[in-house]
Amino acid sequence: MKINPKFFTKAIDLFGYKSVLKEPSALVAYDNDALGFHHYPCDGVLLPRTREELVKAVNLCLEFDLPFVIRGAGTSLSGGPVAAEGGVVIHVSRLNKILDIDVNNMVCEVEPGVVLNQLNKELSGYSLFYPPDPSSGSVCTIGGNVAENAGGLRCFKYGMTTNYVLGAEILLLDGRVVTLGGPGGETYRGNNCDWKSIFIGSEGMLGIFLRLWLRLKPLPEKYWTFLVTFKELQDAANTIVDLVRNSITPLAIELIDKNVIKLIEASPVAAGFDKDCWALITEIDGPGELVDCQAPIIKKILEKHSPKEIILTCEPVERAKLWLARKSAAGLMGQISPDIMTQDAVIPRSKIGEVLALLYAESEKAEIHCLNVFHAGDGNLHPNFLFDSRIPEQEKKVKELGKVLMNKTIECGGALSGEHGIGNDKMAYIPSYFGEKEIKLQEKLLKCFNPKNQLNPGKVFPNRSFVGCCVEHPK
Amino acid sequence: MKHIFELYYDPIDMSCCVDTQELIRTLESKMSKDNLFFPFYQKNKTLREVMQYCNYDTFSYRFGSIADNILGVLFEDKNGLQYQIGARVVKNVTGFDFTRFFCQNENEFGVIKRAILRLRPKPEAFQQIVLLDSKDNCEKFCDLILHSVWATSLMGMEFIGNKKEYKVIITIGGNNQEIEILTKAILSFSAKIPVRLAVQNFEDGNKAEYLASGNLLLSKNIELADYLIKQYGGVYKGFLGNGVFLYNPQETDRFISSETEIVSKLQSYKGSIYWKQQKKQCENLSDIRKQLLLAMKD
Repeated sequence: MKINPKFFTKAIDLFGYKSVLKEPSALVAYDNDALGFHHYPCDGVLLPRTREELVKAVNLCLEFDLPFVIRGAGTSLSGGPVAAEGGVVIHVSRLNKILDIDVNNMVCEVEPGVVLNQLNKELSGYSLFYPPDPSSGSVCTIGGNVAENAGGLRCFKYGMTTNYVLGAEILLLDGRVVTLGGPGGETYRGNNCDWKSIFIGSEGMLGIFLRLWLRLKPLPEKYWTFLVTFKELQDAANTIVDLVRNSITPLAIELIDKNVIKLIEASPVAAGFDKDCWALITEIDGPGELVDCQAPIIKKILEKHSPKEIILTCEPVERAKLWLARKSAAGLMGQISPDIMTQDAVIPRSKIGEVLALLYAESEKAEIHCLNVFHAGDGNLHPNFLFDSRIPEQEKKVKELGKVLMNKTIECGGALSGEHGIGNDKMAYIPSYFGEKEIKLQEKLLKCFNPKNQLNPGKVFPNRSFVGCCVEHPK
Repeated sequence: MKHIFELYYDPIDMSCCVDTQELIRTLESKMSKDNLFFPFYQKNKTLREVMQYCNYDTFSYRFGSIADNILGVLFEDKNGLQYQIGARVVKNVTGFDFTRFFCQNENEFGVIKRAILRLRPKPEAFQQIVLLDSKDNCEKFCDLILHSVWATSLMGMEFIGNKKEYKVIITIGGNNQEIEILTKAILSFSAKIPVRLAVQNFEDGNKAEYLASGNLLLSKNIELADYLIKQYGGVYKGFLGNGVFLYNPQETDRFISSETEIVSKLQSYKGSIYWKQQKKQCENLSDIRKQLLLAMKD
């Protein structure tokens, strides 16, 4: 797309040359997100430093009728924050201030570019924490988390991002700034609609977050972490069902397959897993005296389905080692494969064994490695298909495998995404998931907020293309 | 789309699809044999009545609002068109979250015919610790508990006040040993703030009808109760960990005619209030609401 040079002149006037990127060498970093293998070159990047500059950046794109997308750290795994149709990326990582921590009311106010782990580091000084914790916590930003309704390991007990957003200040494309909720939340009755929930997980298609108010929780006093290994997948799957059915709610229930364990054990983050087993990591948290009484109950559940080994620990160093191994898994896959397609689907927990068996069988047939490490307690699968995008045949096979997973998910009454969003990666499955009426309903909503698809076009719903004056329309 | 809204009950995956006209009591009877429960205890109400009445209940401190416990809805708009929204799973970021939207704003857009409910494992037993004391002591005690490491282990924390008494009810659940530990811990807080505490069996809450509901900062719940009760009498119920309240004034007319004053009070507490009888005009995005309603008619 050719952008009117006046756009850049005006942008430099407004933000300074260091906050405007237009050289191809600088733009290349914005070509993709953590999904990696697809490239969507943008035509310019704006880096606002303040809320006011962010508003100006959006207004500038509107003035020049350019498609644009808001981007945080770009850790999305669904192609959410890429310029699918070219245009401008507004990168908000510089809006990284924690504006207020109200300890008394257990709420904080943040800018959208605040990095998740930095927020939690700050909060720990007040013995508080913000529960959602995607594995990319060391870099991902709160704005991106809210746009994708991020979950993570802890959400089995604590819930998703949507459970913690009390309010949001949002810039709409018609120029209005609206505040939905706030530090005291909001009541939805009568005709006061719950627009906040619609914005959370809306994948950056409806408006731009300027400020967010988040609910906080007191930091737990003690944790017991359990590593249990199984020879058979079905034993692991049965254990997951039993853990979930127990009234002691674990913080997390994570399943790691044999191939991922082999990778971990061959790496510097080796945690002493048995290489020929499935591993399940679960953890409970709370007051010391209470979790000490609950730990034997959890151990008893884990002993029920022929485990090979159970290790339990409350030692911070040992626990950290286990979780580091779990969280490093995706990165380690990058060492053995040029490309990875990480998928995200949610299935009823009772189907975990069946769906994994199908995925392994189909992957084997296609001669593609399929590695699994995922949030088993939520039924949230994250199969990783390893391939080389330079070999078109392999990319085709990987996409076929994605299709097998999504079709099976739909058949089980599951969801196409649990926490990564649809982005442009899974857009093609939307017509099989929703009926025509349900798609139309969502398109009607989109039309209210983003009538020309100017904000984040080419995402979630097929044929969502920007209708602008200076863009060549896709045929 | 696969039709996922046929009626079912799945104790393994802990979800069920029900008609919203079904009584909570009937749901309870189906699940109890599997030690499961739907954490809304207004047993004589239908699911739809619970959704319309109040999004919060005793267990909302642990399990969230009713919208947090509904995974999908079969929604019928005013033209009779039915939409299948959501899924049978506990996490879902597929399209816009119309499940929550319709749960909170059912009548405006149409009617929820069926809902997929998220069920929870039922603890062996519940117990309650009751604090009967002054406004100041109730506030101090609750503040201490809510900020303590014990906070996330509680099931519920409610304030019930009227002209005669102010009462905080803390609900806990678990096996005998867990209940013993939790009870001891909560009672031990009285060493820091000398208050009168009593242990009682689980009671199915105060299910009076309420005229108004609202939300506010966590620390202001009991303060608001004190203000409203002194001004307008009646009964106030606060869900302390959620920053939510229900209120039924004695002097209804005076309460309703004081709208400006009450709204401004709530604003100072960063909150808002909804009157059942005065269908409060939407302050946020009312134009978009109208636009969407109009679009849905087409």
